[in-house]
Amino acid sequence: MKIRFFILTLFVFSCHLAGAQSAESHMVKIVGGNYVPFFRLPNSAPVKLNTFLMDETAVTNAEFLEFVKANPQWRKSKVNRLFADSNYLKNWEGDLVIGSGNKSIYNSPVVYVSWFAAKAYAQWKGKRLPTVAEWEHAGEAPLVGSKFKNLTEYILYWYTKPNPKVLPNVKTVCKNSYGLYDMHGLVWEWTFDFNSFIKSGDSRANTEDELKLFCASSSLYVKDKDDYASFLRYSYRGSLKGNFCIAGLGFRCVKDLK
Amino acid sequence: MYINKKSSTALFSAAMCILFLAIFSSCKQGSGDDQNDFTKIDTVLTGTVQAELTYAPNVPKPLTYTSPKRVEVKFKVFEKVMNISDSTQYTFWTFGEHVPGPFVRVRQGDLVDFTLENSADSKLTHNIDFHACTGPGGGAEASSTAPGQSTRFQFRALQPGLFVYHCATAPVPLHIANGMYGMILVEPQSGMPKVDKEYYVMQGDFYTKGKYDAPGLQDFDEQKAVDEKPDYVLFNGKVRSLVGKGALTSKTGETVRLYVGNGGPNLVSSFHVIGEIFDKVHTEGGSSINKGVQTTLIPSGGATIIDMKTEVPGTYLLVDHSIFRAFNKGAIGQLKVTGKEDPSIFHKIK
Amino acid sequence: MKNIYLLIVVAVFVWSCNDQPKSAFTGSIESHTAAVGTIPDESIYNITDTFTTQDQKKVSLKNFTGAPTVMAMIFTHCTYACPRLTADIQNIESKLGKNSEKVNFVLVSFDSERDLPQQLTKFKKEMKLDNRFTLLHGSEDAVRTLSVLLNVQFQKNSNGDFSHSNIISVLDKKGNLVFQKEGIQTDQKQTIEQITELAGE
Repeated sequence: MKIRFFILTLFVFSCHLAGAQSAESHMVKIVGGNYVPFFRLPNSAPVKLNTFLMDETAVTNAEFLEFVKANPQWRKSKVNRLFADSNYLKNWEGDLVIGSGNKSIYNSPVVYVSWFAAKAYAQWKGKRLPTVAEWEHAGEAPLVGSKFKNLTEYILYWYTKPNPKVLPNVKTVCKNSYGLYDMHGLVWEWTFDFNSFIKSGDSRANTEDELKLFCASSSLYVKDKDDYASFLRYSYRGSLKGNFCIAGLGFRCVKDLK
Repeated sequence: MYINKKSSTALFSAAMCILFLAIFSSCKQGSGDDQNDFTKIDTVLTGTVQAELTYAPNVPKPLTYTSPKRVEVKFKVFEKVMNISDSTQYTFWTFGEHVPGPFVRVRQGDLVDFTLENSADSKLTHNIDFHACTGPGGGAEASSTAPGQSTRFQFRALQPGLFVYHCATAPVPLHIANGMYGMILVEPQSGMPKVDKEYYVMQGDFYTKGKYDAPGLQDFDEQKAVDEKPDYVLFNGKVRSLVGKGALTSKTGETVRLYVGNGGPNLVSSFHVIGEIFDKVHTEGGSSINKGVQTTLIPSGGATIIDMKTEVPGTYLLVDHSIFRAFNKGAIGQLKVTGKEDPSIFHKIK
Repeated sequence: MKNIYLLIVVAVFVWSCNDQPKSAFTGSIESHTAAVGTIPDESIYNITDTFTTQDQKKVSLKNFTGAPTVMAMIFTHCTYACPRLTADIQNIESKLGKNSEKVNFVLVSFDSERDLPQQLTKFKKEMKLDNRFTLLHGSEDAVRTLSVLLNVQFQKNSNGDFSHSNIISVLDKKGNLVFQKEGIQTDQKQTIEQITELAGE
């Protein structure tokens, strides 16, 4: 009896270990389908998405610390400015120290990380960054138990509030019907193709199919003119560069379903 | 022989000069608005200056230089909870923590060297569209700035006038509805006629979940904004900002100049000062001057320059004469005139 | 000998543990620092991805060090902008005169799926590009990384074509981005001046 219990315990324990090491342990399945892009180019059709796995939360400071420990070139003092600007991990106390004063943020999303750093983290994990279409598709799911009339209203409520001084922990803000936590309401998140051809920033006077996010012209091409939250998200992405490290910008990873 | 030739050349030159001057001056008289002909702008810069920036109701001092300069202007964007009325707060998006943003004063022909910094605490991307700028998006494309970053662009102030600037990041209406606008004055090369007092007033409409003056922090109401049904129509971003201690002042006999803009996002203002007649109105902020005006229209995203001499002491009310806005929604301000009575102009009979 | 075996076993083990996706950096993340050598921190050549030329040669961008480089991103199935942008670069080349011999001209394709070396060779012939031109194919990941560094925006459409910005970039001998010109059939005077200056250094 005792032995059986011991074996059972061992079994459970090893399962747990295997679970902890497996990349899928904290990922949820996002069923694919046709995603209709928010901004439409003249010749664009819905984007076909395969089913994929997505991290249920944004990557936390504690998780990112492990990455930095294993990859010295991504430490604050060593990182190349081409890949991360001077704000990189600005809220950490040292290369490998989130900081005793920052205890409450160990399980908060890591922010002040560049696109390059986020991508390197994802690769280290055997994952990748979601595409804009994947992220938007996953983020469109309704929230569980929300008091807001609709998702746009909820997101707008968050967007129009300044960033809090200390970011809350992951899983404390909201959950959607996929089981994803905090897709809206906690941080902005990097996407693989954030520099898709829909943006602000440069003049494209000579291109035929230009799309601008300025003034009223931008609203001619969108699927829902009243979806102010999406406008804000797309203009935000459009103003980013790969080495920017920003207070409210983190990331989560995805993985193809084999 | 040699001498003769020389003198005849001189004569010829003199004649040509006179002819040229005659043609030139007749042209000048004929067109009347050469001030707007930017082909005549001298584009050679003669140094760099820092723009004096002021917040409403203050206006920077008149410019003293008389040749084109590179003018450095720097704005910083803040998303900030501020009072929209004494008991109500709202999350404003601002240029420089004020609504409206800083007043900029440059001279026609100046090269404006503009830097936009977006505060690291900001949640959103912002940019700027100067109506005084000739170039793509009025600078909007060049100034799209993520939180914690800054961008820079230069534009030539080609035309004199009073111009609105505003954030033009999508969704534009939301950025404007949250207070991201202000004004830039481009003085003509000859300068502005001198007056005694200059003030900066800017109207804007606001849309909140709660009604006018509902207490606490109020959120933006998208539906009301789309329906163009504001809860607040305000001068300088706050209820009673130009009332009591905030009132504009002048003395009898002084000439007051109001730089009045309208940020919108939706409403057109029927700007009027109760008990005054506008001596001069630079219609729509441009160079044509209308005289003896009672109420002037200020389009959303437009501006006007008003000169008026204050003859009689008293309190004069600045209103949007779409009068429910003044009475119920906050579009009211005061100009307090002190000094000697002039019964020949006005006196009350028992 | 034993040690080498051990090393291989460990290496294989580590590799399988990491479970790298196929499209990932072919050079490992670790090589960022290792690859730097004499390349300055700001150099675009710090990216370690491997590209394939129209002649099937594997190269990293570092291979272009030593001469200034004119670089643009295109895709060969493009019917409008890319042929024009390519022609702009040919025009720049001809206006550079003798200096063009000291310059690399590099076109990198957005189209990882269709622009394989054979297709790049075909495009090179069609556009009559001379041997100073190198056309590159890269993984989706490598192409996206380069686009981010060059501030080129692009998006793949559902029909397999791309919407993209048109930018000609000028890199110095060490791969530092020194000048960019956006648009097609624009005045390239400044671009030519920049390249001439770099070629003379």
